[in-house]
Amino acid sequence: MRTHLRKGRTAAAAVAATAMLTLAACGGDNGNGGDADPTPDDTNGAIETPVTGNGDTPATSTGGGGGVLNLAMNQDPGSFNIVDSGGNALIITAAIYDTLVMNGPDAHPVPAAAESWEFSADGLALTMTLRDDLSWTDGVQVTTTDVVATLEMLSSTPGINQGHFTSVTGFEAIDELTFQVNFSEPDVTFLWALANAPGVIGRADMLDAPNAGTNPMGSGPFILNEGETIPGAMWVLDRRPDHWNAAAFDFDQVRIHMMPDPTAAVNALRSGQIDWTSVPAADVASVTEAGFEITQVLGTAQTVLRIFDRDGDLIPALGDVRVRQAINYALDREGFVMAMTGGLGTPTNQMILPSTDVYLPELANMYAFDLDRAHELMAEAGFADGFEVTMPSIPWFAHTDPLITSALGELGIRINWEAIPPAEVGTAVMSGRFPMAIFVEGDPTLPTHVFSGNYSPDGVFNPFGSTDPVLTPLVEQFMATLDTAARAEVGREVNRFVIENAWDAPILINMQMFANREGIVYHGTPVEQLRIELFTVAG
Amino acid sequence: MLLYLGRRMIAGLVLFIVSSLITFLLLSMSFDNIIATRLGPGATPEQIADMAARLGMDRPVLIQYLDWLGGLFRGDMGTSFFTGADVMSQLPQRISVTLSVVLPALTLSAIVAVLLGVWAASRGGWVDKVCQGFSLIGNLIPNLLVAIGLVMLFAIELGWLPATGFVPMEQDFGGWLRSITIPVITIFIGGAANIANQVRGTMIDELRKDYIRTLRTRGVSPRAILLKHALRNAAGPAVTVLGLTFITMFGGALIIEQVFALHGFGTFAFTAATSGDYTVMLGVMSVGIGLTVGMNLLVDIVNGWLNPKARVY
Repeated sequence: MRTHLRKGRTAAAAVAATAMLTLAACGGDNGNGGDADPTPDDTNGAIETPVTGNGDTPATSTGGGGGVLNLAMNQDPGSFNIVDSGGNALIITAAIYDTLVMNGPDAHPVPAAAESWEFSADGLALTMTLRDDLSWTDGVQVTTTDVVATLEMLSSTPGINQGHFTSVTGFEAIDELTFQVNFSEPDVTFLWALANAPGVIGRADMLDAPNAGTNPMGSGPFILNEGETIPGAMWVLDRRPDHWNAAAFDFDQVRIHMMPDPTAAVNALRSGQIDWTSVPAADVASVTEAGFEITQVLGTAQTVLRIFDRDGDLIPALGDVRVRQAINYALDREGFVMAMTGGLGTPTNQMILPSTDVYLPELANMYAFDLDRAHELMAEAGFADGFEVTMPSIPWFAHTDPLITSALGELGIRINWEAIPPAEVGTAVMSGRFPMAIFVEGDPTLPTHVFSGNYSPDGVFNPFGSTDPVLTPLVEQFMATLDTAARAEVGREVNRFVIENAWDAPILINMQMFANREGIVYHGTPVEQLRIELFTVAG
Repeated sequence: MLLYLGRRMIAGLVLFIVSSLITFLLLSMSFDNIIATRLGPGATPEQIADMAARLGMDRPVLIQYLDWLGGLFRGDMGTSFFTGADVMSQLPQRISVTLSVVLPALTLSAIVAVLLGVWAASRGGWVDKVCQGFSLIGNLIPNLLVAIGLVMLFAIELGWLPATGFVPMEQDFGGWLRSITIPVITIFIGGAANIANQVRGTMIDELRKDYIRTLRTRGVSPRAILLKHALRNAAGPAVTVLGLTFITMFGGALIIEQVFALHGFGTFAFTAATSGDYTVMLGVMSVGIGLTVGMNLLVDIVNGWLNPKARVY
């Protein structure tokens, strides 16, 4: 059954949309392993050390004195206007502004600007308490007036962050440090959102300033050094010694160099101009030989062959589960890993990472490459000769097009690729014109976002509005369950249905490689890759 | 001369208006998509329409164009659709970065090309072969390969020059010089190869003419024959090629700017085009047309000075 409901977007779907927009920049975004804790683990609030880090070497800082850190980024932050911020170059935005919460090392939200919070028993109210030592760069204290004004602006202004507030009915400042968010229905994704752009705190009396997009006023750990910054080329951030979390940052100044070309970034690293950058798979060997340290982060994104037209509205064949299963069997995932990433990735048939609590290891080998089985299924379904389908050729994934053409060609599936201009990718792919699309999706660490964005009837990544009498209620139940363990159980049922009914064809878990010079340590994880506190001085 | 200049300015203006109108019409066909991109995939048709109305993008296209054109003549190109930054204030900074590479490269190309071309035409023999070989190889080898090779050698292996980045001249002259050296060499090679071939060809033609023989019989020195008479007459086509080379270098600067992470005009235009930042794209287009018209005019003037018979004014 296909629905055309477009009356709203779930918050989780909007978060998934935000994740999509970050793909080109960092290949992934923050994520929660499946939990939105109703209360923080540590309600005392004071954070002396960074709260993110990899599992083996948690980040510990020396609190300044590390000098200047030079990083290369491939996407410019664009505007610092809070309505438009996030996605691209969150590393800069999150340095200038405080966020209400942060993602902890185990992907659960931990205190940041908000030192504690509590959901009501029915999940319809979230009460948060701010730290009492938050301040703007001019020393004025941050209060709930600023927080509420920011949240109201984000929720009422069309923009990439508005979708996070679809279940929010209002905000209320209870006192100078305590505020409440009210919901129409429980929203397990809201806390995650507050660790990202929607949780940024803007100054109430400057939100509408004409220069808000270019001259930001934040309460974050860094100030934009406008004298040395060259917009579009290099963003210079100076550490604030008076920030409540100043001890978490080793470097006194961070220079973020805009280098869209990965070769330029690698050359800059090798010539000593920068200290860290992401590295294409092809350059890993040469960078390693040159003595730089490589950090491999598996799971920042996943490559998926999305099957949107599950009801067969445009392509009747795709409405048959046997055809969708045949497509899954026809994908040589090991081969894709070698061809696409040179072996730097992991094959997968599930939409979420093995580290999540909804992953099903017993189904990991379902759809092992088997062309004979694929042909059998196509014949049973009555499509032994295949069919024709039009797919979008997305500029930054276009290198996968020939691989997909070849794989599906084995089943007689003939693909007409339609080139999509970069500026129109989002709207075109989700327009409902394309029954299938090859996509690299961020956020495989966060089942709430994957399931709601892809399988809710009005999910942003469900352009055909596909529903199912079994799956749809399960997804709704999953999104409404606050208890972690109970939600995980429902999530596993959702995952099982999606796999067994081949609602999509996941291919591989992407690995992102980062290189840094000796003397600094990078603590990137699948959950967090782009925060300044992830960089510490070695030793 | 003034009349001629006036006619050329008017022709340039007409060209600009026609080009900008076509560009605006083409861009207007994507306005809804551009707004949807800014609002995110979850944008509803109502939200898109609302933003279009707030930005005046729901008015007739011709009205929007005239509004933009009026602003342009007032020195206002609007603000970036995505960053809110003023377009007019960003352009000079971006153009200066690109010109910092293109102008030295062009100058170097002209000098080397003239020297090589004249020498080859007058000496012949192995010098001529070197010139021809240089022209052939310089045109065949892609700029990108040259850039990568130079970076590997001078930046990474030897550490003499930076691999990326740009230092403004006013900030540090030495730093500026170092930051543009590899990019300039990269694009100089192709430019010089092209111009040298042109100079060589026209010089050979000139040196074969009767008046050159007459000058020799009258005892005029070979140097004077070469530089004062032949070169001056042969310079016309070379100047034309020089003008075209400048436009090519400027327009093709994107690749070099990407490889060397230069925040120049090419990168500015590319980012605007890929993100659908239509106000910046219109500003970029304005600059492009202005540069092309201006350069062609300059070439005509210089050719007219070199050879009064070639004057069109």
